Amino acid sequence: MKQLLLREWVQYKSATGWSMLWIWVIYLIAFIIGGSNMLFMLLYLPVIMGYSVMLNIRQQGEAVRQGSEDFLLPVPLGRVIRARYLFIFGVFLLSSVLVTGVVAVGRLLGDISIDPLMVFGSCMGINGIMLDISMPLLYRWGAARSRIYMILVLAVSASVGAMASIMLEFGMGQTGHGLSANVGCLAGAVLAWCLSPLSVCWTVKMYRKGGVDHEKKPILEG
Amino acid sequence: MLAVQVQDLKKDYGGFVVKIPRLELPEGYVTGLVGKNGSGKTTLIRMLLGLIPKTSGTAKLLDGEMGQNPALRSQVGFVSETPYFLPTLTTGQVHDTLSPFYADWDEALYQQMMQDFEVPNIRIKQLSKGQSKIFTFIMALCCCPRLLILDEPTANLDPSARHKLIGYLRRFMEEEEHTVLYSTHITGDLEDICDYLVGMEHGQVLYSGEKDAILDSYLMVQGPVQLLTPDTLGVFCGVERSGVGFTGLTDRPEEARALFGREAQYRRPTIEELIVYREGVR
Repeated sequence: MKQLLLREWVQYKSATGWSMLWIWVIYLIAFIIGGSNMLFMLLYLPVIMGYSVMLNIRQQGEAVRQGSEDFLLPVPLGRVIRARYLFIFGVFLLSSVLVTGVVAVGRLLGDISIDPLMVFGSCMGINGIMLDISMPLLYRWGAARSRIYMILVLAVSASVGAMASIMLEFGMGQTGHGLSANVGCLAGAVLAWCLSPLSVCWTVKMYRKGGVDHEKKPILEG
Repeated sequence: MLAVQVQDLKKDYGGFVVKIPRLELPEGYVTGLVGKNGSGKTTLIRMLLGLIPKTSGTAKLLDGEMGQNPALRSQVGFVSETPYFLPTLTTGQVHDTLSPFYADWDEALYQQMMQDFEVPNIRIKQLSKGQSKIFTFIMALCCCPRLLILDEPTANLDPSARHKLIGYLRRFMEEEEHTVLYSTHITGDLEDICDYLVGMEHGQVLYSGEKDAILDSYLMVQGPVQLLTPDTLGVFCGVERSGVGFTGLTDRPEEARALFGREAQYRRPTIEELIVYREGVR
């Protein structure tokens, strides 16, 4: 598993590493100039998290397109996919912790009234839902064809995000009302990630069903 | 022992079907897989490797089916028509991430081949098509597989690189238990090194067996075009007229010799002629 995770890291780093780094650099510059006001948080944080997810999907799409390597590795396909999920979980966790950290700093400075735990729960929950749904679709139809389905997944995730935003807007994360909102967000995140083993099984099944031939076109070049 | 064992194998794409009732290839030999574009060679290879699901039947490599036996995968090396490594990785990163999975990885051979073929440590997408193909070949060979499956390994290679690659392949075959399944359109590569031949067309195996036996069962006939009459034409699988003469392939050598006698010239066909003339050029 360690070697598989290392493989994921090297692939991720080579495909998306610099993009993510630049996003954070731009964010920090914006943070320094604009400060951690509420509007900025509400606009920029979903962009960061969304982009993080999209980068992962793009990276996964590339991996699916090159799929032969996954099928030829002398380890069970299920283990390859489990390592991929575990790695993505790690990436999402890190992104969520960073975002939560920024919110926590803003709260300490008195610029923001949002509860960091609620932000953490929302971020992890949205990412968990996206991952659980998008991975099996991606591994069944490949990046090109699953684009339509991905729009639906994004719509669902955006709805969840919008709900979280509304909750934030109405100040449910503030002291006094925060406990139920925090618990709700964190419970949602835990539920989403608890469902991921099912998603892993579904992905492996879909991957085997499609093989490397995701686009369902005959391989005629030979 | 058999390196490849296929029974009632079928892949149905709707408009295109690959159907192979039976195919057995022995271990320890080089088998050439030939046929026109779209004959189903790559589909067969992908089914053997478990890269695409089969509609029905069994496709065994060495001791079992690739899709169900992860341990078997370390004994099979594959050079695909298009390289399958992530294009954003460097050759060094591909080596670092994949080599630990193979217990018998030959690092000395890897270093030697990388130097010999002058493959740079740059991103896969920055390599030329030929360099990508060579790198895939190096990675496949350094896993020390028992069975090496090559799908157009010499396409896009310059003559020098092609010569070196064939040289490494010959060295690989010095080990008795090593087997190569070699699919190519460059049939000149196969003339010297292959022992067995499998010919495919329209998703079916047309012929399979020892190369010499297959080629000996055909005969190339050359002679003046006057020899071609409606009666004699029927003896040929394919004929090509050129000016005053003709060249034809027949699968009835004795009958052809009896028909044309000393007025025609006879020789054994090459693999390329077998493929070209079997199409029935007239």
